[in-house]
Amino acid sequence: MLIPKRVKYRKQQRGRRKGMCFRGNAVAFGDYGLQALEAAWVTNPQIESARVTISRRIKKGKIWIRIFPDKPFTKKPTETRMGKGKGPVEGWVAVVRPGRILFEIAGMDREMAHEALKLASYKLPIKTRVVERTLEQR
Amino acid sequence: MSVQTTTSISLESRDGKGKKMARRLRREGWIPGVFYTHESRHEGALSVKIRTSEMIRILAVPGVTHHLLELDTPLGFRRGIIKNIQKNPCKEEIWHIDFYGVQADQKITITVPINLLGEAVGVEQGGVMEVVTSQVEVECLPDAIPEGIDIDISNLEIGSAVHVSDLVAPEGVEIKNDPEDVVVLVAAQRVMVEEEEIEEEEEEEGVEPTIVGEEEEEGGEEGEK
Repeated sequence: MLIPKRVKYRKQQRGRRKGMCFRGNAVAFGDYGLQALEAAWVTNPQIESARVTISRRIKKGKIWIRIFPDKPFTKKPTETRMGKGKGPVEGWVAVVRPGRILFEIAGMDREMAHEALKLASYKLPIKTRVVERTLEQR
Repeated sequence: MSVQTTTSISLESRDGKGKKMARRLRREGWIPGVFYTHESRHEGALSVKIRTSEMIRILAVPGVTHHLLELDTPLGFRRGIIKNIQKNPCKEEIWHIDFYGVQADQKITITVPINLLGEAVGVEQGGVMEVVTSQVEVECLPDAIPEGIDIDISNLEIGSAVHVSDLVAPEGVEIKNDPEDVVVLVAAQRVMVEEEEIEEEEEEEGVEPTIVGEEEEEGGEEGEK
């Protein structure tokens, strides 16, 4: 699963995820992409699960993962009283805003690409749509 | 590589600026935009608006973003190009358009597509074609804007690539991209092996990221010892 190699600080504040994704919102590497239509924290198991789904469906071709879970989230252990500091790191998430391209694929026909990305979307906690590369993208 | 035909667009003058006016215009079926030229850089841009339906019809023309356009501006007829389009990332909604007026003797920089001709040999042998650069920036006179830069890729084998330096620009057109940039390559097909075993092994390791400061301290202690 995807995880950072080195981090500067062990824990982070939650932050906000309002607004849209103005960078990384176009299909840049492959021919087809899966675009997020909602904001969410996408965890590394969810990313991995979607990637495995795509690779099992397409068999050949290439996959690009356009998000990386670089944000740690913490959770207090069960049956713990409040206080005593922030809980331990529970997992890693990628902060996704509407418009972000999550996955890109190339090297297969259109029908298979759409099907693979649709299957991958079921593994993700947000609404998505399949987009295609256009020459007009700037 | 043929030179394109001109499309005509009528731009109307608009009053007011800011997001409130822009949102009102969009609600009323207009797209706010600006028109400017190289000469007007000190005077500021001219605020214009264009009918959304007309703009959608124009943008449906293939390659219109690198075509020379006939602009009917409040200042009179001018020739120009679409410099920038701001869109909603999730919808096909256009927020704003920049039109750039050009002069016949003034060179402009514009992005044109790369047209890949033929089927690569490497793909037939089982490789995957990867288009790294689908457009290039070119500098030319407005009348010499090419429809695209053609490149024959039929001899491309697995492991080989076409670079920007391999592209042949038409006369009077200069490619501005780095010559070392890869345009297209044919990569070897990676067989999707049973990944589950490998994944399980990785998970068992329970990898955790190292903290930058702590890592240095550990290194320092070891060094002292």
